[in-house]
Amino acid sequence: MKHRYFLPFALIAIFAAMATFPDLIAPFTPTERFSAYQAPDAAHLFGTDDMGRDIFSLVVYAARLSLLIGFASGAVAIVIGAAIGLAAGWRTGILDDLLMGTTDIVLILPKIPLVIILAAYLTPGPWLLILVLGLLSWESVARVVRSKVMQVRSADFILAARCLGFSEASIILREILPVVFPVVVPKFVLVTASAMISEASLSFLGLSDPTMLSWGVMISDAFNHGGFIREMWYWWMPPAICIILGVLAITSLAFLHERGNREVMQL
Amino acid sequence: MKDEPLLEIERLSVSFPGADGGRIRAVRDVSFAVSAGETVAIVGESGCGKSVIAQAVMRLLPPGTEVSGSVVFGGQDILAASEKEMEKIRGTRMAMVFQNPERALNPVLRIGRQLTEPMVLHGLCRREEAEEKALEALTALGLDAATMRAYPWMCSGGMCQRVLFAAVSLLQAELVIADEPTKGLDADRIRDLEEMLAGITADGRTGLVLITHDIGLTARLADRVLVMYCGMIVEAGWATDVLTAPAHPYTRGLLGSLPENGFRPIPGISPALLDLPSGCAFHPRCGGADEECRRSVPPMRENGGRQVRCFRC
Repeated sequence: MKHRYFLPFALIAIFAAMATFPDLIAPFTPTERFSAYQAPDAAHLFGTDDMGRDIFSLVVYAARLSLLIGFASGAVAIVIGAAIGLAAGWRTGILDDLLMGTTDIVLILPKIPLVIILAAYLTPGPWLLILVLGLLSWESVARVVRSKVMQVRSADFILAARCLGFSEASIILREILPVVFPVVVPKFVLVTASAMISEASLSFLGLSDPTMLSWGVMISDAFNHGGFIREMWYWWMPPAICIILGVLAITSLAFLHERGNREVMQL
Repeated sequence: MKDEPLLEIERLSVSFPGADGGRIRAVRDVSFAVSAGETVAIVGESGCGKSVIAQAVMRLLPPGTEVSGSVVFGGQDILAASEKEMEKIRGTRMAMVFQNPERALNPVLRIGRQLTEPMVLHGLCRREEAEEKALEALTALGLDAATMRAYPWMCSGGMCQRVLFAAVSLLQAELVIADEPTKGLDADRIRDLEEMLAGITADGRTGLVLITHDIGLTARLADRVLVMYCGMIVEAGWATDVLTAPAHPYTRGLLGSLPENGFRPIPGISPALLDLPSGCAFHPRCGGADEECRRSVPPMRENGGRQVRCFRC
């Protein structure tokens, strides 16, 4: 059972180490320059880019922003989605209709085109990107949380909690939130993964801040500054693999978590 | 018994909005009192309004419910209390035992937490102290420390029931309402439950309202019995008197339908609360009904501690 968690956890641990202590892992800083367009060798594992920066070091340093944007957008989406889902599920009636109406509107917004339009006007840096991606991905969280809350709101143990003198707020926080939590965790992970992909896509299209250092921006640089024409696969491949492995590790954790829950239920 | 009643209900009536604009009159003109250390049983068939009384006392009725009359608990008017005041009263001063113990516990929280949380929430003691007390209460009911760490779905129904009793006893409420506690239980667990229910009133300060249709349980536990039919109390008195010498035709029919008394069912079916018969609600099923019974609702008549709502007896 435990060995299934090993690979995704190991990958996330490696990425987390890269994001937290890049200076310990990378041989050079992202600002040190050598001669440009070098092929991989012992000194430069993945060679150097058009500005003579060590690509391996760039990949390590870029982990921080790529992961930060993913996880922070996930957190924004979860907080908004859970709050709206709890409120809508607990208080039926007009509030529910209003909140779910808003959720439906957000649900039908075509996300990437909208972000492209926003990005074209705002050239978003990391914080704006987090905000925009987070604000556009809470709706599925809200729907799942709402349906879970509606499922348990009339349960006997909620009535029992009221009989024990729990106030509305403590029922929501102490009784309902723990029930909702297991469905929120995989949602958080999935939103995080999709935010990482969105960040990479936008950066590749040149619609985020080109001076920030993320894996998406690195691929975009390779594309725009001769990495593809010169067939320098060692320039764009490492950040691309990092994005793929990052997303895979995060989503497989969510699926494993879900599968674990199902197995417990089947006991 | 004691002179100052713990709970005093005076002319309580409860009605819900019906589907087609009418009102469902679930409880009509109900009055009774519960003293400390006393067990009062409310018996009657399903849908006669027994549980609605419990919900009215706990103030758990849904919005849109019309409640009239008065409910006074420990000198406080419950029907006029604010929701904040009710949150203080619920749990610490009145508690409820539910009919399905497995479903009355949150499946995703450990039992220890569910026992300590109410004590901490009401500010009765700190968490460590609450944990000690919870363990003590569980041990007293024959459970051990492993139960504290268990989830409700790991426990049997009997264990969950003990846990719920531990929860109720920990808060030391003055009034405990048990709503159909024996429904769907086997004989062993009913015996267990009976012992625990008897333990609640043993301290002499706690009153117990036992809502049930188990006449045997009523005979063994209750000091006084209220018999309800169609939202009204039709007969009330000492349990020994009412169960050995029933006065009201409905009570007689109820006892006569028990297997040990010949298994003779009451003819007819109980009417819908939305469309009650005129006069005495029991007249269509009563052998001795006459014109007066059809015309007007009989008043409650008292005779030597026994109250009966019938023209004919």
